[in-house]
Amino acid sequence: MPPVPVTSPSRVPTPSGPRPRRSATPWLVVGGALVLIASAVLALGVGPADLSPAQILGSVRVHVVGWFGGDAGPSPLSPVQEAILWQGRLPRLLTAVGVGAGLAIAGTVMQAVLRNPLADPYLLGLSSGATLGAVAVLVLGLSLLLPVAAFGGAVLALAATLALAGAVSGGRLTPGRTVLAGVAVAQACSAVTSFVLFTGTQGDSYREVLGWLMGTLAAATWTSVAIVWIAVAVVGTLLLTSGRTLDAFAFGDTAAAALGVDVARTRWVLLGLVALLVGALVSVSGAIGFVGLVVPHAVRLLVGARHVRVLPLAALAGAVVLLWADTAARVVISPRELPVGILTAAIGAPVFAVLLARRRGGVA
Amino acid sequence: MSGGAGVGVDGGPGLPGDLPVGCAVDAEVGFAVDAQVGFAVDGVRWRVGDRAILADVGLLAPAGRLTAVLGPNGSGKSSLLRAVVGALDVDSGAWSLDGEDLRAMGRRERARRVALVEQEAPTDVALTVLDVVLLGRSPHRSRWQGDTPQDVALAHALLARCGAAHLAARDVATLSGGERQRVHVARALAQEPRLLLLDEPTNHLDVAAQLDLLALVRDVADADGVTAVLVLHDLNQALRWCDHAVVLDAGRVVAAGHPHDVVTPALVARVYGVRAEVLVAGDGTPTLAYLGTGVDAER
Repeated sequence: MPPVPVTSPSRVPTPSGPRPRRSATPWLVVGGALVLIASAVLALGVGPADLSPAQILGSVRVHVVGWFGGDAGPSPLSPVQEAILWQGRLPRLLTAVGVGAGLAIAGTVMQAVLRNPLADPYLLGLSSGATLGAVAVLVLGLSLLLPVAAFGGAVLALAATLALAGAVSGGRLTPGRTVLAGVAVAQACSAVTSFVLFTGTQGDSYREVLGWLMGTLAAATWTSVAIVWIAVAVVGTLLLTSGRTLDAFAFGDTAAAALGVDVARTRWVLLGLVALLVGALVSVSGAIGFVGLVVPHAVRLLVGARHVRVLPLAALAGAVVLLWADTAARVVISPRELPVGILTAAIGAPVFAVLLARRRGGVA
Repeated sequence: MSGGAGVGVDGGPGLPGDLPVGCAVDAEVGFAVDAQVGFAVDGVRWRVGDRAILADVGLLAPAGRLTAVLGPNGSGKSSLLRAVVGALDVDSGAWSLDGEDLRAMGRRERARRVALVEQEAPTDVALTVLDVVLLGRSPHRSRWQGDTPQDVALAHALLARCGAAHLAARDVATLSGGERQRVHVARALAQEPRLLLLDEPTNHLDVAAQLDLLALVRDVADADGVTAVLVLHDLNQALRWCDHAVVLDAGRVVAAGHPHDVVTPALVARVYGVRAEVLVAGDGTPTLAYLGTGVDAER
């Protein structure tokens, strides 16, 4: 074996082995973005009022030109169609895109930082806390906006989880203890929620709570779009740059430290960011399951486990998945609504089973 | 020779505190033990509850050589390595490499000088072997910077050097123990370290894989002048492969020097409570044969 001068990588001869996957990542991101845009245009047309892609694009053009003070003539849509598109389908679709992308990013980060393939964005009590906050509004008539109460509940639950985990693991947030603390907090929140539901619910509030528990985007407005997109743009972008750090956790905390990562601080910061992001998402949509769990795994199977590749592609895939799932939720049992959480679970469970089988086959 | 060793130890200006290192027992080493050109540890203490895991550990690992860290289970060997890479906050102590204070250094800067190979690094993450080696480049790259072509070239070259070029595209979870350790050595070398720490690197490996790994570490030290510190359980590996040996017992250094002088039946009896005798292999290397446990403290 000829010795390689370890201190001067520049003198190492370039190997012949091609690396298609690495250089392919930007193209996959571009491709994913195109799929997302095409999906959006197609999905906006789906529903009782049929809108063609040309009509939708024409209307969008009129509005966009209008924002810049221009005049692109009359919209190709009737006033009723305009309202369906701009007050109904578009804010709902944009919310779905943001929530899907955010959940996939959050799930990817949770799985890496807790070194637990079963981790999902709600693992640390976030959804239970948000549900408790929502139930407090819907059932007990707490005079707060529902998103505010849900966000508060989520963040308080995560704070309780991290405080408990930090207290029992000496401030270092070991993955196992953090997950267990999350389970404890989630159980406590669920108990209170169940008690309130059991004793306090009447008539319509029960259905409303149930829909919220299963996750739904039916009530999405432009306010929802703003909440979700600001959270994803600020927190999601910060998390997207954590790829290298997440990779360093692959072989455990000691290995990460030896690669120059401040393990304790990194875990606090990343989990805190995930809490803010998921708190914002859950406040708008309720707890939509399986997107944050399954999408990261599916993307890893496609492009390998390096997070620099996984994070942006998972965000795009999560957006596309939830976009179509919510479109289906609108029309499957039309004119009634299906909570989208039921659909993501119905699609996610078999997909997850297939992934597990493939993974086991690959390793054994 | 112990005089020569003393000069290096005492005459080190610019070190964090003079290093009257714990290996006062330092004996015949055959080369100058100099804290300015090697890895020096001084006064490391770490208590958990009322138990001292590390009770004033000090040692010198000569530059470009293989140093074995020996001792029974629970003697503090692995804790010492974890402290050096910053995975463990000890109560006090200092460690330096070639005169540079490693403990005060930033984490990433330290990771460009010190690399660790653990005894077993299981993972659920489906990384390819090449990806694993590229992890070693992360201390050299900012968090949003991708792998450069030079990084990929270096990773391939290091895999070739470690006899693992053919594994580059494999999922690391599918490798045998010996293959996996060679990949982790390649990953560690991708950090371009001046100090390579290995924690029981030959555990669970078959004899051929053990010898391959030790020969690889030997080659890294000889060819590149990397200082290697190996926590070992097999005393005969220390006798055959290492230039220097440090023996820990209950968190303290109890012996240090050339392995042939340190790893003796008397020490094995004292530290491990095992009766042993020295056989000499055909090539003249002393080799221990273990006869049984249960010796008097006096032996």
